[in-house]
Amino acid sequence: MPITEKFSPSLADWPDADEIRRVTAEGTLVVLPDRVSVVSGEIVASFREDAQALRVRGHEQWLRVELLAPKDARLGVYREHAAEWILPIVIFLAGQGASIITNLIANEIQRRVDRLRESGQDQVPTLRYREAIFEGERAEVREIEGSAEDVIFWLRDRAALPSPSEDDES
Amino acid sequence: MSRRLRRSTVKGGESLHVVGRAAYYDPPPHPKLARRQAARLDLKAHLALQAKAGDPEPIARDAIEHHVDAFLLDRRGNADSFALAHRLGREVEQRFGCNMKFDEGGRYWSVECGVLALHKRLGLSPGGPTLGKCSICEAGDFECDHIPGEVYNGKHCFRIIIEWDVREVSFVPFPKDPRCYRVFPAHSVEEVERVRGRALRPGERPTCTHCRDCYGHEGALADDVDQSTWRTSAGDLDNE
Repeated sequence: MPITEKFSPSLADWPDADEIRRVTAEGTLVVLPDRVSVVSGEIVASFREDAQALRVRGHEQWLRVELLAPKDARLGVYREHAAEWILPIVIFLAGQGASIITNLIANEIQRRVDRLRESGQDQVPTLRYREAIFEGERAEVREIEGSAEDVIFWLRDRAALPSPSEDDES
Repeated sequence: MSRRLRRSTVKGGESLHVVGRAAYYDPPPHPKLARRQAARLDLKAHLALQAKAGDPEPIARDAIEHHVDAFLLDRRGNADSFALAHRLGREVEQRFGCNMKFDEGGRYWSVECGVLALHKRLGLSPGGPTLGKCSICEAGDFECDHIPGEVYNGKHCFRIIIEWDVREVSFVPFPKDPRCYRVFPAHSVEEVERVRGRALRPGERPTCTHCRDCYGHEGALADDVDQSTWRTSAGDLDNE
C-alpha cells in the first residue's frame, strides 16, 4: 500500500496559535486535541488514544511532551472503533530534536504493531499520522496515510534527513 | 457491558433496519482467555443439557456467545470456535427453538444471536469523546504513567471508560473491537410474511434456523478465517 499525503484545514478546536507556537519553540512535542466538547456539563478536550503512550515514552526519554488543551478543560480520549488507526495531531520544531521525536513516534507505532500481532490479529489497520503545520497565519494538518510499516519507514527516513541547521554547518 | 444500536439505513433504495452492539465498555479479553471461558461454559452447557435438569438454555446460549467472542478475537488461533458455536447452536435450536424477538416499537423482528456475527463482514464503529481511568492506579486520563496495553507487575493495563458521549456510529469492515461484528438485520412484519407466503397467525413467532442448515458446524471456511480476502460492501449487512 503506497503512502498518501494530504492536507486538511486546521481544527476549530485548537488552542490559540500563538500559544502553540510558544510551547513548540521551547522544543516541546505538542499534542493537539481532536475535539473540544461538552460532556456531562464539563468541557472536555479529547485526544487520540496514543497520546498517552507518546506522553509517557517521551518523558522516559527526557522529552517535554505537552497535551495542549483550552484552559480549564478536562482531558479525555476521543474513542473511535474505526478500521483506521489515527494518531494524535502533533507539532514540533524542525531541527535536531525532530529526529528524536519522529523516532519516538515510529517506535511507538512499531510497539503497537508488535502487540497486535502477538494477540493474533492478522489485519493491522491502515495508519494515519498527522502533524500540524503553521505558515504565517495559516494552519493546516498534514496527513500521511498508509500501512503501519510504510508510515514507520517514512518517519525513519525523515528522521535520518539532515536538519536545516546541520545543512548550514556542512 | 455494551451499548446497543438500533438504526435504519438505505440499501439500493430500500430501507434496511439493523440492531447490534455498537460498543463494549470493557476491553476485549485476551483471545486465549476467551477460548478457555468458552470451553468451560461449553462443558457446563453440555452437562446441563444431558442432565435435563434446571434451565440449560441460558447456559448454552451464554456458551455460544463466548465461542463467538473467542473466534472474533482470534480467527486463526480459535478457528474451531466457529464450529463449536454452530454445533451448540444447532442443539439449542432443536431443543428450545430460536424465536425471533419483536422490537419495542412492535414493527421489526430480529434475532440477536452471536452465531450470525461469525458470518459478518461489516461491524460497528462508534466515535465520540470519552472520560476514563487507569485500570492499574485509577488515575484519570493522562494523570499517570501507565500505558494501556502494557503489563505492570503482571497486571494488564487498560483504560476503563466511565463516560462515553457517542456522537456517530459507522459500518466498517474491521471494527477495532471485533465483538462489534454483532450487527443483525431486523425484518418488518411484511417482509417475514412475504418470505413465509402467508400472514403470521396470532401469537406466532418467526424462528431462526441458521444453525440447522449452515456449513458452520463442519468448520470455518478459509474466507471466514482470513480477513485479507474480504471485499466488503453494504450488501454484507444482511448476509445471514
